[in-house]
Amino acid sequence: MKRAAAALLLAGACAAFEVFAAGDAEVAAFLERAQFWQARNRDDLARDEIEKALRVSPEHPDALAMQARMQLHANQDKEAAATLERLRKANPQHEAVGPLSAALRIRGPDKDKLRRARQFSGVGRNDEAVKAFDALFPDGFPDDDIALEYANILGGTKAGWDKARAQLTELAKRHPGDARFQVALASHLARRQPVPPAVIAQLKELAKNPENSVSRTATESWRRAVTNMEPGDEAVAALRDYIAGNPGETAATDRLAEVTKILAEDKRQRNDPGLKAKREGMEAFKAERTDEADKLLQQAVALYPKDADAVGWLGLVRLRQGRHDEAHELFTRAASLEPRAESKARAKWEDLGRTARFWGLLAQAGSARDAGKLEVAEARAKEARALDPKEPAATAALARIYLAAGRDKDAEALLAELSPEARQQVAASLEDMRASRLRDEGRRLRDAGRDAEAIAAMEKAAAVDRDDPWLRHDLARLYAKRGDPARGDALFEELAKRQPERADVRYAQALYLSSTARDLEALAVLEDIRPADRTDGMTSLQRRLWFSVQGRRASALAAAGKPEEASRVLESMKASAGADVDLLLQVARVLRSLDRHADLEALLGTIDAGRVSTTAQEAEVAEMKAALSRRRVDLLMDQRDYAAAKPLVEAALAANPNDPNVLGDATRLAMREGRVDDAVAYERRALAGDAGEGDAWRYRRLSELLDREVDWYATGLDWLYRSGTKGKSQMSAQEIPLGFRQGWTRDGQWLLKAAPAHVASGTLDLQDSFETSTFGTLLLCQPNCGNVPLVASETGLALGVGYEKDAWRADLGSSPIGFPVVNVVGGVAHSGYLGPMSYTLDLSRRALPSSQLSYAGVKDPNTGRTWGGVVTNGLRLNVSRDSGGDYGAWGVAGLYRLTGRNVQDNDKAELMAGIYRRFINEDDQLMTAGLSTMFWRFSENAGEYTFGHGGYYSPKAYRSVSLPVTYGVRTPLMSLWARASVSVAWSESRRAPFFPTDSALQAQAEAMAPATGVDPFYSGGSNGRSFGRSFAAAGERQIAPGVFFGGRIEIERSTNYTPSRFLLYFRFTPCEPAARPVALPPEPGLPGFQY
Amino acid sequence: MRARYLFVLALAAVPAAALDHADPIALNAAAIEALRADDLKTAEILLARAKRLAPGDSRLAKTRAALAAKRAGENVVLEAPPIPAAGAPATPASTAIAREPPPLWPAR
Repeated sequence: MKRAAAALLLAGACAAFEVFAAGDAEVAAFLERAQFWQARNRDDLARDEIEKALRVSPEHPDALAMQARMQLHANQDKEAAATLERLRKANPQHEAVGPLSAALRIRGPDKDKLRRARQFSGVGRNDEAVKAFDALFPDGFPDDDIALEYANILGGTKAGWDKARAQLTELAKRHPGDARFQVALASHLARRQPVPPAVIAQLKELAKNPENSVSRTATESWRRAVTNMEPGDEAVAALRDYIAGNPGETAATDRLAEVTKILAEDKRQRNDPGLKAKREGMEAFKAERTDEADKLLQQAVALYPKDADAVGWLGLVRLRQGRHDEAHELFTRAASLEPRAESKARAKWEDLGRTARFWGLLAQAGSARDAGKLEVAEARAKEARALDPKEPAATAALARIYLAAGRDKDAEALLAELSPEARQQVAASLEDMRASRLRDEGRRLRDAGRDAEAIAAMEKAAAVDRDDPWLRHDLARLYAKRGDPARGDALFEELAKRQPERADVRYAQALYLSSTARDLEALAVLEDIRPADRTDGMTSLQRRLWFSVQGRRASALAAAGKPEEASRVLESMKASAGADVDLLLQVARVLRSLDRHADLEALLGTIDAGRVSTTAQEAEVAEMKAALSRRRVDLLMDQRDYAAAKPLVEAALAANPNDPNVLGDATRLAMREGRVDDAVAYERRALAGDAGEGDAWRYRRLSELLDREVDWYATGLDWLYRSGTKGKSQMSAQEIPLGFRQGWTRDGQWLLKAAPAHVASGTLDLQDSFETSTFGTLLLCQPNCGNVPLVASETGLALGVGYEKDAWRADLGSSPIGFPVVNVVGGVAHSGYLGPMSYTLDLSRRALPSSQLSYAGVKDPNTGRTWGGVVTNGLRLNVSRDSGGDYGAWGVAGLYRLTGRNVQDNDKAELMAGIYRRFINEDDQLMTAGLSTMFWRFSENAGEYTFGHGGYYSPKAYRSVSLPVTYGVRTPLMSLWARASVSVAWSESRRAPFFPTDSALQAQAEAMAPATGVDPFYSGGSNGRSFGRSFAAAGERQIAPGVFFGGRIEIERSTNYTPSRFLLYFRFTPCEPAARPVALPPEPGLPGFQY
Repeated sequence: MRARYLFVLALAAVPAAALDHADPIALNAAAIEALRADDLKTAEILLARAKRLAPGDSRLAKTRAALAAKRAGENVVLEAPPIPAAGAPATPASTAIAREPPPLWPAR
């Protein structure tokens, strides 16, 4: 207290000096001297100086204040109180009045209060102590000692550190030479970590202070500062420094050992993979890098399966991942691993385990509810509710389950059990739940195809939840699906009108419009969304729609004949797509649809070089590339550049051996190269398994290939009849051909034919002098020919063998053996393509079945010589252009020499051409009409029946035009076909001698002319115009899997040509069922049917 | 038998009801129709052709079994085969040139 009084006195002296420095100079001088003595502990001399001052100015406030302080210092409390009174009277506002009053109070009536305040501080109740001091000294502290005491106490409170620092800093500044103030400030600063090194250094210095209280305080603060430092190298150094200055200090020594141990453990942990994984896993979890945390903590648990923290934190990962059951198991395990049963850590894991269990049960309840297992869902929700009755989530989940079960009242009752706040929270979603139930029901019905019921359910849901744009989206799409998009439009218009700012409404509306192929309108709707509200999904949709609209514009521009504008749009698309592969693929699809293959190829190269990130993108790029490759193959094959196409096909086949498109190309190539077996194998591979919906065209191709692979046989009756003069131009010929066509082999196919044949022309009327004079040489024996032997019919057997390989065909055979004239017949033919046209070039020698004379040859009854048996030798070119479309055209050109035994050689040129239009062009029905023209020219007239003539029609010139109409129809097992034609022809005949091959006979005939009255020449000249008509009908029926029965009748009527033909046939394959149906038009399709 | 004749008559008279003669699915459907009309011969021929084309098709095996059962005198009830989708006429792409769309939003 004495020290406090001295301090008070000194403070007052300082104040007085400052006041009077500018006032009464004499008083000031006395007071200055008083201060001088007082500072040197000479209170007696100081009092003398004060007395002198009061004598000069008895009521001088500063002198009175200084005197009162001196009196307090001398424990003269009564005198001090009197002096204070004088001061109050002299200057009640003097700054010394308060502190002096307080000093007197704590020495008197408030002495116990001060003591009590100090007691609070002594037992660590600093907050109460501060309050007591504040109550004692409302007008300031009596002196700086009390202020220092107060600041020290304040520094020990929770909230007073900063305020105490300010006060201590001020006090230390005011008493720079007083170590008590310096150590107080340094000690205060050392209370809060990290302690600045300068403070520690100051404390170390103050610890050497000779004043015991200062050094003790400094040492304690120094020790506290270094022992509280965070473990580290700095702490080790500071502790060692302290121990060096204070040897034997166990607290510091123990702390040094502890810190050293912690550092060693820390080092060990840093280097331990399991602990490192745990530590990094925890950090990853806190940074919400859950996947990384999962991986690291699993490593930690694997290495330290009994580390409760590692196990528990892995549980936290599982909890965040929603894997509640696993989280619960891990938390339970972590709790059991905690060594102390009552530890906070164990309680924490157990609490988390309950949380995981709670949410796990709710998740199970939700899943069971969604799966329709409402009983299970209810049980789980109740279990969760029992686990944490206060958590409204369980009650809400249970209410949802009741709603799903249609137990609305139970749900309501459940909600009533909740607190008002929770009820409000849960009940707010009650309507949502009802709407959700109806919406789910609607979607379920929609997915089941029950659209009308789905609409009804969704309409109810929309009435409950009027703000759900996605519900409206589903409903609007159903309206549109049922043909009422306007109703769907109205749904969105109403919602958008009520809530124009909602971006999700516009988004849902745009999706709906896009689903109804109104992309441009969808784009306009998206424009209403403010840029700040645009989500990734909206942006993605806008960009996709933009590309879609632009793609259609490009297509439309190209279709409108504006390729340059289309190109500009496409270029803008490419530029806008950037590196977005999905958008680039949209551009690629447009290019593909426009057949801009070069651009597509370039773009695909760009995409390939970019980042194809998904399997779907990769597959589409690959498919487009494959399509380009196939197109190249198509072009090459169209150009018949099979050599160039082949490596492309083989490469594609090696890369994608089971790709149906590639196999299709391989099939085409194999067919072109005549590799039927390979073609079948490719198609079989492409069509493995059950037949697919889009494979019909492949099966058609396969059927043709399969039927080429099998042997075919045929037989029938072929009957040709021509009315005319009996014994001459009349003819009735029958053949019963037996034909065989070998199935395809790599070495080619053989064809065999054997045809018993019979031909008859009737018996010449020998009584008719005209007819007899124009047959054989009967003119020369007129009228005494008598009963010459006339042969009216002949029988024989035609044989033939043929060979086919690839585009070549050759055959060799004979006209019927047994006929008077037997000819070797045969030919070589080659088929191929000339640009878009197909052709067949045929070099052949064929029998000419125009009459018995031309076909079989006849023995002249007068001379016994045989003549006739004409063969046509020549070259014939058939060309055709028919791609199966509506129009077709054909042409034939031929040059022939017709020869026969004792028959005038004759040269023939023919040109024929026709066009036709298919008015019905279906697989099972066809109708065509056309125009055909024909031109023949023969060098000789050899068409008569006298010796040396051939008995076949051989005009000098023949021109005709015909209009054929055909109709055909096919059912599953039968085909019918008919053709009718009308024609007009102009012809001209050459004058011809009776016996062109025998000049002697001709001379004899000419010599006999006066007697016979017959000029032995056939007159030539124009035959004028003639009209003709023809009709043909055919039918075929499949009567067994490998057997077909067919027939054909042909009737032709014109002025000089009236043949009729009737054909019945069977064709069959004995090994396999036929793969192709009945032919349309019906055709025997085998050798041996030659008429 | 009357049904059989009616079936044959229908096949001949309504050629427009086109059958893809080389499509195993269509052949199977036609064979089932023939079986339902007790026209076992037609069914046999169509099924043989279908099998030649698609020997591994399970649907054909089922129909062949039904044919065998019919031949054995069993009472086989066959459901009418699904009517092939008429092939909804493809909506022709609009050839009208659409107006310019709004500006493309920047990628996010």
